[in-house]
Amino acid sequence: MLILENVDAHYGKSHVLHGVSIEVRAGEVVGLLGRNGVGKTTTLKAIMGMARRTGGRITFEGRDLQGVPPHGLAGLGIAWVPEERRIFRLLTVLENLRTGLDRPGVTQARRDGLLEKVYAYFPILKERRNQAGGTLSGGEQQMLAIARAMVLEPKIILLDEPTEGLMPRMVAQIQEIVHALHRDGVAILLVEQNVPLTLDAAGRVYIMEKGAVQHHASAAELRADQRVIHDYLGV
Amino acid sequence: MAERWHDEAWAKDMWWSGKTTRRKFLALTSTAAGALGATMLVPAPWREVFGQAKPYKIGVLQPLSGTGAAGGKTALVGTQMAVDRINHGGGINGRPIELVVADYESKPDVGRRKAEKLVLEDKVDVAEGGYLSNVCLACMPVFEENKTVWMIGVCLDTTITTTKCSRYVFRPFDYAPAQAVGFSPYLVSKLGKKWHVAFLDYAWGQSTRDAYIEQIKKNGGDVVGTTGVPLGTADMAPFVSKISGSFDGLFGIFFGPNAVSFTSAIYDLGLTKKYKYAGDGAIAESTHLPALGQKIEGFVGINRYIPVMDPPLNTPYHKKFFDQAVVELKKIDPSGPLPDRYVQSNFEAMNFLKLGMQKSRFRGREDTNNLIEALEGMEVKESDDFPQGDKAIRKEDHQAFLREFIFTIQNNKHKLLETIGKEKTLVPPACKFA
Amino acid sequence: MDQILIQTLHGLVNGMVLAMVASGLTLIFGIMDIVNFAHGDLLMLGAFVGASIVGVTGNYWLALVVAALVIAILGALLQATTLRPLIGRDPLTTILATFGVSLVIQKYALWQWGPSVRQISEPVRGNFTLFHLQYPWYRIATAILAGLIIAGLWLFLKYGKYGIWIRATTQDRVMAQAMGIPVPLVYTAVFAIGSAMAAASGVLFGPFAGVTQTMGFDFTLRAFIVVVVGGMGNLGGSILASIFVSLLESYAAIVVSPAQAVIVSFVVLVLTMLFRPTGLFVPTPK
Ligand SMILES: Nc1ncnc2c1ncn2[C@@H]1O[C@H](COP(=O)(O)OP(=O)(O)O)[C@@H](O)[C@H]1O
Ligand SMILES: [Mg+2]
Repeated sequence: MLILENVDAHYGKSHVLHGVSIEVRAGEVVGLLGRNGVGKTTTLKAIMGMARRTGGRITFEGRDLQGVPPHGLAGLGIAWVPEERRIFRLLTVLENLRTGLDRPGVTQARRDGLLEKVYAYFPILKERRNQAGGTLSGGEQQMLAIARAMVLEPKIILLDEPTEGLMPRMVAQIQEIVHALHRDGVAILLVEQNVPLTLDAAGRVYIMEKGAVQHHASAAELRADQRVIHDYLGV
Repeated sequence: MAERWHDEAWAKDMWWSGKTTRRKFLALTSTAAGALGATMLVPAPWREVFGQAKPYKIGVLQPLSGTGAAGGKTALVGTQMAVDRINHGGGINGRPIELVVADYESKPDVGRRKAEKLVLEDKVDVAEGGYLSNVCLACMPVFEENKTVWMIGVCLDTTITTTKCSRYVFRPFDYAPAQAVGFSPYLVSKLGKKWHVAFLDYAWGQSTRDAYIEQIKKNGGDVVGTTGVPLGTADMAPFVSKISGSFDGLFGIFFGPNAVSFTSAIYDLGLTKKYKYAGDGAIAESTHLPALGQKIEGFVGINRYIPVMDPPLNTPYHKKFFDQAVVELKKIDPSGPLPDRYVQSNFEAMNFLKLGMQKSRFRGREDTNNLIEALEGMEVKESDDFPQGDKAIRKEDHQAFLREFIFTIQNNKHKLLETIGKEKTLVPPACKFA
Repeated sequence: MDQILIQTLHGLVNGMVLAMVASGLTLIFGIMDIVNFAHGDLLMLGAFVGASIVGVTGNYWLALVVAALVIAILGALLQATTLRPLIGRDPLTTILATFGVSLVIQKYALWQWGPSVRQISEPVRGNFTLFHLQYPWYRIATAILAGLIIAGLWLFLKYGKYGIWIRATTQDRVMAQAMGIPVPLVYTAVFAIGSAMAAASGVLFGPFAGVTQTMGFDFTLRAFIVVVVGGMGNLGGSILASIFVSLLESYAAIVVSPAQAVIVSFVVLVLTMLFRPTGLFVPTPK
């Protein structure tokens, strides 16, 4: 469904991605592991058209994303949960969700249904629906960021370090959500540093180093042989 | 706050279209600004009529953009009418006139630069124009330094022919002290003894205020209060709301859009119902009358020029000027205003130059001294060249004295009340040339 | 005492008109980081369009609506052709571009309508006695109407679908894009809304002092001061600052000489920039 072939990317003059190739099939959860600064976030940004791509190809359902403006990706079914969460801080929780709900072609009934669904996953968001996004705690903001992506009814979610800096209880909740999304048939490209979580949630895993994919294996293989993980990630 | 566009490298590549549009637009912008702003030359056909005769280059300074643009454009009509007439009539000393028009954008520093450019680069023989007093004052030293005659078309500041006078600069029309001398007897005897003076609070407004205070008192009246209003105030209501108390008439010293703001404000707040309204004729220029409508009815003013055909303005000279000016003004203003004093004084300024250049057999800037001597003390008669009437340029200060018209506005038109002969406007000279 | 009441009324009336002008300017700045130097000229153009329509039809309300629509379309075209291609470049280029647009609009107005001052006759006649003055009802009506228009804008931004798009884009345009909000379109729409607000203010203000090519300058300047004082891009702050600055200017007209009265708003500007750089009505971040 989502295929990156030999993607190169630059920030200004610095060459950050060197021929990254990744594939995510429909409904599949794919992990992307790597130390800090190896280019995981940049890979997601390249997909979203937010990093300057200087080589290679990115296709989604056979369509080259080159000509698609950044605001067209949501409509194709690609949602992004950024590392910094990027909540609209002055908008209320409900208004944050409305940025994804107020799309053309969404009936009132479907909107209500979608809201019910995310509120069911994240009851705290319902409680805080009229509170400004900026006043939420870190964990709540992460939930809002995921909920906001969910109301877009995407085919794939690009999830960038969702558990970074969260308390264990929250991490468990995020893990549950990832499973739930997977059950719903949503594909996920999960960028993480949390190895156990990734190996638990993902079917396949790519490991990046220095802006390139160095290793690719099924989660089962990696669970069986943790040496690779140790070599690349030092854990 | 989110990241800025330009921080994001991708922003540069996102807007895949439009680079040419932007260039096109910028080009268009500069062309448009340049077309009106820069130099305009008289069309080539004149060259054929005059054969090999070398044209006189006359520099014209006007504000064609910025705050003074509307007035500058009107003023330029007078200059061009005169030049067309002169070129049709065989030029000056057999040579045609070529105008070099410089737009000083209503800014003194630009004015100074444009004046320097006219004198040094375009090498004009003489100059004309003006309009904004602060620009006139900024440009005068340039003409003095470069020994070039400048016949001012419009600039009202008193000091141009008094404390800051220059041997190279002439003002062939009236100034505030002369109008105050001519108008005050009428104000005191016919309209009322006690006056409140409201004025635009900058050089011209202040010097005019002082001239009227002096003359009203001299004629047995009194000025019981004054109110200044800053230049360019969009809504003058807060300032005019202060005007209250017991007096007979409100005397206004305003021009251009400020005059319209002021008149609107005092009418809207009911002051024109309580007090008589008189003032500088600039308040009721014909370009203001449609906008003011009812609000200016009954205003009494003084002006060197009003667009009426009543005696003594019912001359063939004035009719000719008037008809031609109406046609020319219609070309720049679809509402078709009647000619005003800005058209008149620029028209006559150019004709003064013509007479001076003829009399002094002016060949070029090397004859500037002869031209100055020819213009000093020059007396002219009411004629096609001077439809406003007789006038004389005084040798001592290069200030002209001419007749004035006291008028009122009736049915949104000027109505002549009284003509003041030029000898009744005399003010002693107060100038020492360097 | 009389004077204080009179000047309070003037300050409120002028403050409401200024708030309308400034709300457009601040909206545009907040979302695009563009200081639109042509804002006052769009106001002027709106006033001329309004004057022409009143001249032909005699219908003030029609003039108000049509002028706003015409200038909204013009604003949208202007944004799409001139400013959109400059996004991502040095902010100086956009400043120069809006400056160029301002000059072109002034030249155009002079060419199209000539040097004569135009009139928009007030739709509400009559006045009431206020101490020594006759106060025109039209001024009161203007303040109320401006208030209603601003309230309408506020409601739209608060509850409307596109209002939320605008606010989301203002806060984080990159994330807004990722949520599928067509940001380039939002920009154009905001420019159109700001332009329409300017044009409507021009038509509202027209009867106060006539319509001239240069009427925009004073408004650009004061609206700019107000936007800085109110906190760049902060709508509520700009509205409060408009009323605050206008009241201050009106009171200044009583006590100080006119030349000094003009300086009052600049003093407020400078003090704000020195001590409350985020705006007078916004808490300074600790
Ligand atoms: N906006 C940026 N400008 C310049 N360099 C950047 C920027 N963002 C990230 N980088 C650099 O690009 C490299 C990859 O960063 P990133 O993709 O964020 O890594 P990861 O997400 O794997 O931690 C790092 O060396 C980082 O310093
Ligand atoms: Mg990262």
